[in-house]
Amino acid sequence: MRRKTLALHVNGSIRRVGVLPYDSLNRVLREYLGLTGTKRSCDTGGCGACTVIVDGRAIYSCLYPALKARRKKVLTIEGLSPDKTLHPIQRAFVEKDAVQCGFCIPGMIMSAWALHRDESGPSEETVRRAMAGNLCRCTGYTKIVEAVMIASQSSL
Amino acid sequence: MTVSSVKDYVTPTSLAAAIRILREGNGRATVVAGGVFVQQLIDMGLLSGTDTLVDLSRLGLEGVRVGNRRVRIGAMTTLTDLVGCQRLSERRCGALWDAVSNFLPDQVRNVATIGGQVCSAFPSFDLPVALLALEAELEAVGPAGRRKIPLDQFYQDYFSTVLQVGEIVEAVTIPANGERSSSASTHFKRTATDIPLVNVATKLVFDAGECIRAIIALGGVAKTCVRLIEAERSLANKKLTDDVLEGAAGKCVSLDPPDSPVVPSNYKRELARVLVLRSLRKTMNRAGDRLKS
Repeated sequence: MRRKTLALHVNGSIRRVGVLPYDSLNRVLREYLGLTGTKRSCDTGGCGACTVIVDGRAIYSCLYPALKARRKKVLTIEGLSPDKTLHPIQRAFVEKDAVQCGFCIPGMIMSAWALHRDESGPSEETVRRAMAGNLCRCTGYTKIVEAVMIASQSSL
Repeated sequence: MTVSSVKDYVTPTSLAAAIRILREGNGRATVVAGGVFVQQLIDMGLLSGTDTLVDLSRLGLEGVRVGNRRVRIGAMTTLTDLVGCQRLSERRCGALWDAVSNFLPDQVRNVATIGGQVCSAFPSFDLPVALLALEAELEAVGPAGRRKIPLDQFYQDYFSTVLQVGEIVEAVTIPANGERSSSASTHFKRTATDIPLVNVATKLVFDAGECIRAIIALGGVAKTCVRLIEAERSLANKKLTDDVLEGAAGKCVSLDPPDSPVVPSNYKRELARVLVLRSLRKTMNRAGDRLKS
């Protein structure tokens, strides 16, 4: 099977990788580029653990053909804290004790990032609606919602 | 680990090239719009009849244009881009406005396209049901040229449309005369990331304060989305009292939805009845003073 070269613009730099024509963006990020901060869970667009940002919008990387990402800008959880200091959204999650097992968290944070890009000071209802595509089996969501709401008060 | 028959993924930059690749694929080339549905089929091993994926995102098929008589929505316009589109307001275009505003999750809405929603021919997608109520028409183009296809003549079966090999839908159009009608849509699903169990969209057309015509569209109750013609006739030129509305919704008893793994068919029938009533009431509320009470 001939692989196709994908010059992926991810977290601010171009990474060249050979992909199969039917690879999902999730597979490319995790298995070829070693960016395992993005998770793979349901792999069917139902849980949100695979959420990354493409051209400023949250998407499910498990349902995004990798070759569709040509000429687009991808941002993953690793890109939020390139110098290892916590991004304000990450800090809010820590402050509010919003993390238990941690598996849903990168996806939650990316969805929160997308929300804050479009809207500052979102209401609880808006937060819950924007995060509806991210599931958590541990926390019951309360602290996650609180974290996303206080994150809007920091400078991003 | 996903294994697939797919051998190539191309993103043509001209309509002519896209049509040629699809035609030459002779049924083994599959269109990628937002990619959500196709990628899922691939990962589940359900796209074994496809050699080539043809991504339509570089053909300039995005955007909304208002003409004299119809509003034209490019097939590759994402559902998120339709939200807040001035030309597709709640008052003028309620069914579509509801469908995109209530679409969850954002991660799918951000990439899903109106053309993909329509052409996937999935019986319980929201947009086709809303568009059916809005009397949408499709602008298709293929090896034999261009043609217009009314949406209510588009579907044949699950995942099956009247599109010929090499044909794609370029745009969806709906009537621009929003002032003379009111519409709404709704659905029921279990969780935010679920595909709906049942979808309903309704449109009422007025003349001098009276309802002269009704359209009631349903999804999830048959192998394609459908209109409830008997119910529509029961509303035309009638005063829309509670009894009349309930009588129309009651026509859902004639539906024969297949049993699904999730719910039995009689549950879907009752769900449809309740949603039709709710959608009709929402449509009437939106009509406001355009409909004499």
